[in-house]
Amino acid sequence: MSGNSASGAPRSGLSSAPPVNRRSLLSGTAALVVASVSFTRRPTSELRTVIVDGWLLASTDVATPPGK
Amino acid sequence: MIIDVAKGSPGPVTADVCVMGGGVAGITVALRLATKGYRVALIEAGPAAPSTASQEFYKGENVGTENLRVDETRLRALGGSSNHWGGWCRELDAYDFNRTDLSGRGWPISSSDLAPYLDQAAAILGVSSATGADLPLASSDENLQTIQMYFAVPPTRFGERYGAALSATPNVGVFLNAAVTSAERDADTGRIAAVTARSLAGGSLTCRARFFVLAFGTVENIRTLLLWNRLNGGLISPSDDLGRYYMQHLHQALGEFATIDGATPLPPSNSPGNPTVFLASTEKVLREKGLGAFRLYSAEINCDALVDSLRGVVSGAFCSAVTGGGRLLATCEQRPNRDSRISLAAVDDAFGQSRVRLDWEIDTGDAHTLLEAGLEFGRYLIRSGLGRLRINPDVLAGGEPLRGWTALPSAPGAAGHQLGGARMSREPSDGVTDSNCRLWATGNLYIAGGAVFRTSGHANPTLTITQLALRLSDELDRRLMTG
Repeated sequence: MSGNSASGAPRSGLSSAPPVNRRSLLSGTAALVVASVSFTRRPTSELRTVIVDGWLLASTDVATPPGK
Repeated sequence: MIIDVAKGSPGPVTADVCVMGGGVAGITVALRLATKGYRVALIEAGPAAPSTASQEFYKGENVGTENLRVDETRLRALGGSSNHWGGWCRELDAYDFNRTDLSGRGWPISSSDLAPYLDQAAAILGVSSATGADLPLASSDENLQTIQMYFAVPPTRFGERYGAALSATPNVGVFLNAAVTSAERDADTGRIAAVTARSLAGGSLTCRARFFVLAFGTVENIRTLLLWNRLNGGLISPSDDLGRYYMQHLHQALGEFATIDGATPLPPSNSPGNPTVFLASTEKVLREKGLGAFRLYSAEINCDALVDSLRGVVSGAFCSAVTGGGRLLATCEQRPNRDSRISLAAVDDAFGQSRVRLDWEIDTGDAHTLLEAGLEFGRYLIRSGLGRLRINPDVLAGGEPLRGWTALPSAPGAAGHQLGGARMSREPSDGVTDSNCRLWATGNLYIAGGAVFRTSGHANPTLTITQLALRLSDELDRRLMTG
């Protein structure tokens, strides 16, 4: 996350490109909000999960036989 | 005034403050004190710009988990590692200073001690603003929140940005190509009396000052103290904690996620705005589960194979709603680990001084943080109806996650944020430096930089390092005024 090698500098091996596209905070937050309110939240206490082949699933996801 | 010691010895130098290291912290301290009228000597081991020959001195041994070479993570030139800085900025959260569950007694300072320096630090780094409210998620998830990161665009290269000011300030002397090789300790007072710096070309200088500031960067600061201890009977810093609790940010791909109906639960990592919203842990989940702080973002992937995999475990109807996905990436705080250590190697550099040996150790607690970061995001996807997460097998297994590194090719396991090794403490028995970044054992020697961090949070450290440098400057001002 630290950065890019400056021109002429030894290769840093580090990552993190500097920002290239300006996107406002509001649009970023709005994307999160819109996505979130589109679905019914299940309270944490009611959420039961299982892990199948690495997938973290709601227990209700697997009520239907896989692939059906 | 800028003097190249490679071209000749400048003669004895006397200053109020001798700052060793011309990177972000060192230049910040030097210019801040100069504006207050003090005579400052700024000694930089490298040249005006990074060079292969100078980097040779940063070669050392990596014997632990860190997969970044010690001569690639740091730049030995005026401007220091700002010469490859990415510009990411964020304050530490207030609770980061009080993670007693991670670091015993916590920091001896609080966020309120650094808050007065935020705006000025941001201005120095070229960030137009660094303040903004973190927001709860719309779904009222108690374990995740949205946070904001800020960027210096383009990232400020301190040598380029402040070189002219350093040169033009009459009470600042900058000495390039001057590697500090020894310190003279006054046996009566226990204070540093002078340091000597040398150039391979034969030039040298001795600087006497009332106060000395080590600002070489975390790894080199520790190496320097270990070398000085060797020359001074271990009295510069007798703390057994010197070099220990070395920390990096864990930088890891946690899995891939499939999203439903156009949901975008995370910002992409390759096109951040300013500021950019990330998902991050809340204090609540960190304290409840004893985790390191984490923040989450994503990278693009081809979702075809991912959907095929999902089709094997859930209904076809569910899969038909999948419209996208991404790779889940995380930057996580490492739990301070006493065995994670900077020490001296058996191999010498061209000055006959031991090179550095870096042993970054991570433990099961760190693997637990990575796993829980993934699980929290996966639960968030389910609760919010956004999609599903497939967790990488190595993360799910919870063991040695960084040896199975699977992130973007340009994103290595360590983030390049070298922290700790001279951590702040409330008492000498619990650290290397006091609340003012002064070495407990040496009355006039201070550290500027990330070595004093006691915990790291998930925030990129440059903003905090700059705040600390400004605060240190004020402390030196107070001490200089009071004699």
